[in-house]
Amino acid sequence: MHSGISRRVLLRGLAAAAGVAGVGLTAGCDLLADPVVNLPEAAPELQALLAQTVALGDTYDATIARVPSLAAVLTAARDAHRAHAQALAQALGITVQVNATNAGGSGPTDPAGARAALIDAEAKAEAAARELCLTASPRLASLLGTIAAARACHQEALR
Amino acid sequence: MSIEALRSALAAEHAAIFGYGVVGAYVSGAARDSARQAETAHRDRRDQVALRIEAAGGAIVGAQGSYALPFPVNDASSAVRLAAQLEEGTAGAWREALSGTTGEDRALALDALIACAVQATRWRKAAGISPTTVTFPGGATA
Repeated sequence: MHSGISRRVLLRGLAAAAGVAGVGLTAGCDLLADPVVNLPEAAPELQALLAQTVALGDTYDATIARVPSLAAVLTAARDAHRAHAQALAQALGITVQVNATNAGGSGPTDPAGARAALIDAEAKAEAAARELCLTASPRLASLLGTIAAARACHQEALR
Repeated sequence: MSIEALRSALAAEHAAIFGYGVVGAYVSGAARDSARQAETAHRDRRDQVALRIEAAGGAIVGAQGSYALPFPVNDASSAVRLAAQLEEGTAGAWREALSGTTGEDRALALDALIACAVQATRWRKAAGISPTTVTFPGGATA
């Protein structure tokens, strides 16, 4: 079951999400030659998960900027979220260019508070990936499952 | 397809239970308690997945008499590293099962993947392995 979705429309939606999350998105090389492609029915949900994943990576960057003493603990999870975003983008047939954000932003500045905030964000993100995995196509179930598991592991690592 | 996916996961659970028998021989204290709890979780999952396979009319995969260890285990440190590897191995089997399952079987596979991956993280923390997490639990994504 597939639905025809304009890749340009999809990219505009993703670009809007990326603007919030601080990333750049570019289409595959055949964008102009093939403006309409077949995407899985779950594409809108995948777009949301991709935006959430990019935002999570940005949250880690911001936390590292605010609480540099946690950098060694947080870097692996931050990098994992970036890799997950790339994998999700690949599943959507687009390219994600992640630009590291160094702005600290608002949030806890003490290590314990920063850890607690990230655990909360990871728990919500795990639930989102889990829900999508349960009804995903065989092609996507593996990816979504491993992303959900990674988010659960990040919570454990932060405790 | 679903039964075959679950049979592979069952075989992995058998191997993990054997492996924890080795781990338990070398660890003590809190690590021994953790190993016992982890082994119990694998036994519970083994029984659960076996019931699913039987209910679906499939044949149960039995445990082998012994399994080759991935590296020599002769002290507490190597035993904890083995425990982490056992969990990552079963996580991989359950991750593979995701694509071959739907409904309740998919949920079983996902919960198992998450549980094994988290336990692997706990063992890496206990062993002082850094980083304590892997990017794609259960193996590289396709």
